[in-house]
Amino acid sequence: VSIDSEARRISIKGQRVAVSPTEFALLRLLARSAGSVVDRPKILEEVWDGSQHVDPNVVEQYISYLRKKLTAHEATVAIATVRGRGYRLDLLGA
Amino acid sequence: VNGADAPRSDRRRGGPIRPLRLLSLRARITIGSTAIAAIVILLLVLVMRFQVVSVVASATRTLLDADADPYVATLEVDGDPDLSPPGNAQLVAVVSPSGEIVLSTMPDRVEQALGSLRSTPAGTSIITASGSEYRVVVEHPVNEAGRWTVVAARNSQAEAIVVDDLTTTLSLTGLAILLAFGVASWVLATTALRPVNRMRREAERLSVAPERAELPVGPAQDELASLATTLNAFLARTRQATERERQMVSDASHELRTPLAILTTQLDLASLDGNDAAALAAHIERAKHSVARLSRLANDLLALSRIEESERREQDGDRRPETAWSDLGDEVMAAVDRVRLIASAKDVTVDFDLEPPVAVGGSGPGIGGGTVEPRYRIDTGGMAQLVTNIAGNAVAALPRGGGIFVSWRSTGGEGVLQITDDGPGVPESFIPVAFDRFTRPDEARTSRPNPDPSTGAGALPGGSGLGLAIVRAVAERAGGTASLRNVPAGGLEVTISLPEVR
Repeated sequence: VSIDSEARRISIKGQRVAVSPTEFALLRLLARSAGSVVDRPKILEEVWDGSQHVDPNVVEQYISYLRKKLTAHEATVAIATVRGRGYRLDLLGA
Repeated sequence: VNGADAPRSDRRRGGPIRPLRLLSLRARITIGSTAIAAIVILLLVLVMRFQVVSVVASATRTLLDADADPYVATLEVDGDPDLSPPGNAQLVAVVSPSGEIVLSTMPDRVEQALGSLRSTPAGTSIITASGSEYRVVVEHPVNEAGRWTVVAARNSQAEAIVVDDLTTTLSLTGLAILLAFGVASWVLATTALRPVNRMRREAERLSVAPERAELPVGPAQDELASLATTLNAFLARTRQATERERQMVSDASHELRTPLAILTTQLDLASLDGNDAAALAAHIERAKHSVARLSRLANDLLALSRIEESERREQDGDRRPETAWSDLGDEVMAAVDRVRLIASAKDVTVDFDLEPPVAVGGSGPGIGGGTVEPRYRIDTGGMAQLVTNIAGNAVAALPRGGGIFVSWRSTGGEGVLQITDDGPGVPESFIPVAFDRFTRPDEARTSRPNPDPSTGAGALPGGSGLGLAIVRAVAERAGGTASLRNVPAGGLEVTISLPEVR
């Protein structure tokens, strides 16, 4: 998976994958600290600018959107849920 | 601005023609044509007068030649002739080579000039003798006695009288013709302009009762008929626009009345419960919902009128915006993000899929990979309105846990935005009017089981009723179409087709 921060593009195995701006921001955040857990408040702060009008449910939804895309393109990374703490981007088979 | 402009335009229009411009069209036509006729008639009179003068002169000369000829003929053969005086009223004089007047019927004052005529060569000339003009013919016959002089004369006063009489007659006739011409052109101009007057009267009547009246189109295929046709088309368009606006205002005020009445009731109830803090808070919360609905309505009305306004401007020649497929795709995704924010509260998921156009000679699949991307007559704001309005409706209609699917693809010269949900769909009777203003499938929306009380969505009777009207306006402005249908498997599918710019 390659993330082009400049063009705000994501490619999986050389194929461009269409992601929404929010999806892109979330994946970039998880990728920056790949292998370690990023907690919900941090995600809300970074991706949604800590907006008060965001339903906390939205993080879970976006994780699910990203997972769908990652598995659909058979990416070698996956997002793991760490119960009670947050989410973590893992390299599959590592 | 007018004050500054007026003098300049006055100056531009100034000049010698300016007083004419103040007159009526009829007067200008009459004056113009009469002036031209006057010049023509004057020229004709002058030419005729000149012709008559030369005809009279040559006639006189012929007569003078005839007067002189018998004497010349006699003198050319006879050196000492016995000359008899000429006939009645002929003025002839014969002067011998020695200068003696052999014969003369001339008046004395002309005779005095004879001496000088002896030396003039033969021919015609005009002499003046004590105030009277005479046309004279001088001949010099020669015989054995020497060079004689024969002079025949006629008082040119008679000639002048003939010419003067004629000039007077011609002038009077010319004046009469001119007068008749002026009257005729006035009458003709009046007749020709009568349809204009009729049209003006009709237009006057029209300004009082603008609903029905039309300008009369005459039976003739003339300029006035085509002007009337053009004006009628303009009137029809204006009337249509006015009718649309009037309908819009009437609909809008009607729509505003309900939430305002609700709000008033809520505030009345709140003032009754002034001492109960909890009840007051509940009233305020409900009033907030009403206000939110009102402001949604106001925003949608504004959006709709802006679209219609820009449509009018484009008809007047403003450039339409054009946006590339991938930029619209980016906007679709951004709009999906916004819809997801509302959807997440109801646990509704919004998925999307972009199917980029097949790149021609491009670097392979992928957005923007092609060399020439299709473009569409819509701006990103319009695309955002399409997605948020359609998907926003779907979010409101869906039960908890529902799903929405947004796709933006390019197929066969069209960009297709399709938004499908797995909700209850709409009643079939709503489909034909779905895109009209202030229509809501309220039965379908409110009769769904268990409206969610936590979001408050179920408590409000639908949206502004303008969402799909805005969608249609945006799509049509882009030259495209909007349609919707119930999917057999359940749910609603809204399809927007936008033609590519060629």
